[in-house]
Amino acid sequence: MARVALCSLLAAWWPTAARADLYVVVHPDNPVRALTAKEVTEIFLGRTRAFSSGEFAVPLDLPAESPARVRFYETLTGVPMAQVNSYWSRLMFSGQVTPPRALPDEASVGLAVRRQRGAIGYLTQEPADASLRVVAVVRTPAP
Amino acid sequence: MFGQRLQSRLLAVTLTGATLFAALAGLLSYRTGYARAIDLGRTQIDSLLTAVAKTAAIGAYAGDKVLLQEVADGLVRSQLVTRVRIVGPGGNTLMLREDSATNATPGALAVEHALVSPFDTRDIVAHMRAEANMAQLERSAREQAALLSALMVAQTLLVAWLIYAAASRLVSRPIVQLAGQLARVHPDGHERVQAPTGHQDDEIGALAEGASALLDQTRDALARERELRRRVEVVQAQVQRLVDSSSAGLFVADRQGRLLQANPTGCRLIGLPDDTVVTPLGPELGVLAFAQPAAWKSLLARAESTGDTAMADLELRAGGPPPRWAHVLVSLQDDRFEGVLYDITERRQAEHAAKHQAEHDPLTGLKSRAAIERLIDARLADAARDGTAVALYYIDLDGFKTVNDQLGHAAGDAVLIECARRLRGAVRRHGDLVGRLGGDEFVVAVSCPPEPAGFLQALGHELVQALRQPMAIGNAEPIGLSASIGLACWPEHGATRIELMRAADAAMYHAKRAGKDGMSVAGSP
Repeated sequence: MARVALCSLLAAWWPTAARADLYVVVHPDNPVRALTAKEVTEIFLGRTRAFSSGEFAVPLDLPAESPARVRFYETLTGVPMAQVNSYWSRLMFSGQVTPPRALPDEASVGLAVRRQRGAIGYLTQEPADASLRVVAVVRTPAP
Repeated sequence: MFGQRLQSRLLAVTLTGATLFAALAGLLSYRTGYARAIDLGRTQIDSLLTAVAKTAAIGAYAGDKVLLQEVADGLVRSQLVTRVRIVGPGGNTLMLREDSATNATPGALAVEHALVSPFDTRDIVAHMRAEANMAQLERSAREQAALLSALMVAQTLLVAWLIYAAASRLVSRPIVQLAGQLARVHPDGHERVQAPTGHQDDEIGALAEGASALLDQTRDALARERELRRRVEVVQAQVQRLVDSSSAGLFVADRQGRLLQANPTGCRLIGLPDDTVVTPLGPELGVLAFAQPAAWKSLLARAESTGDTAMADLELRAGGPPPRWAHVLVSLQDDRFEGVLYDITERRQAEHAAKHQAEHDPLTGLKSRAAIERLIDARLADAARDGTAVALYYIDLDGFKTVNDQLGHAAGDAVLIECARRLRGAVRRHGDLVGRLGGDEFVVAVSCPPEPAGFLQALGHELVQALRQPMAIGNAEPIGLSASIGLACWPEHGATRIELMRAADAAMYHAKRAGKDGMSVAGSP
């Protein structure tokens, strides 16, 4: 999160610097209006299974090879992607906690979030309509 | 014996020191070893916890109880840990696993790790606490401590033994050997102290060398002293022989005059047996040896006051009669009197005889003319001093020439001897002088009070009477003789002896002319 703040600060200073924000989106019926970076992290890393409203949270991921996914996790956790993967490997060993389901592309993610009330995902482009609600913006450096 | 003691003392000291130190070191190393083993246990548990902390943190972060249990079981399966508890931030127990085989020990060693979020080190997601298997840990600690302690004790004893062996071999045994050699060395011998093998160049060698040098010096000194003593003895013997054979008597007396020592001649003169060499604090020498102890005393006093040699002729008690005399020299030397006695008896007797001969008429035994003159001079001097008078009778026999011519000189001599006897008999008072002037002339001198006319007349008549009696010479007819006497008195009839004698002589001729056989007084008509 410090890194997020730092990046935004840099962006403000350096308008020409490449920047690519990620937009965390939920179903418009979801009562949640905004989430902190910590809350987003805990949902996507399986620590939190539900929103503050009590709604069961279903995080949706981009493919493993997707640069946006790497930027998303590295920016949120502040650790390299390999470590995030190692984290999941250990949890998967016990089988109690499973990582978010990965969808083939951003369009699939947008579609899945529009269809499911508890779903939550992240996109590289800000959604143009109200069928998706942005609850957090993760400011990441350009790929 | 001494060497034995040095060795055994070294052994005792080393042994005692080593034992004490070994006990102390053993105890200390046991405690240290035990503490270190316990510490090691803590470190090992800490390492175990560190190894599984990441996985446990992930389990706690994601709330994965299976993962937590896997981790906890892994820890408990190790011999070191008996119980693992993982507690969430709120104090809720997330996982508790314990080894059923071992009982939890109260107050057991416990190690606690905070589990932080895998993605945020500031976020503590749980605490993991592991309790040590104390029975196992303590057993292992005791084993290690015992091993360390045993090693320490063994090392100490080994070092002590090495020190003892080295000290014994390098120091005490050579010293014992040296001491033995020194004890056997005789001052009269020639043997030296040899440094033990291998010690020629060290301090032991120097010690042996020093002892040898000291021995040599002592022997030299002894030899010199013996030679000196022998020479002194020779000189002493010579002196002793001189003293023993000396014709002079030598003696030593203390300040009170008591005899301490005398040589044989001295002993003989003093009147002691010859072999009386030493008579410590013997009798007073004055009483023992001399006829006049007072004279001896005054001699000592003189020697003492002048500090010089005093001498005198003293009559000895021993050896008489006739009395023996000694010339005595005495001086005070170092609080004692040393003296020499020369036997001068012979010389004194010779002198005495010569004097007697000179002063006496050999025929009659009366005083000679010279003695008479000297004695009269003395009487006159006394009288002048005392205010008394001196009377002089000049006596000449009447008809002596006839006796000589008719009866021979032998008869004449017999007559003279008889006359002398009678004169002596008439003048009995001690101090009156009777002398023969020569031929048939005699003289009698008498000291008397002034103006003693009657007494002098009576004595004169007595003398005339004595010589008038007939004399029996041999078997011949008794001879009838008489004498003419002249009396002169000092100071009336003469101021000097010569004047007095002349006056008496003149009075005698007066008596002859007056008919012989009578007395005439000087100055009378």
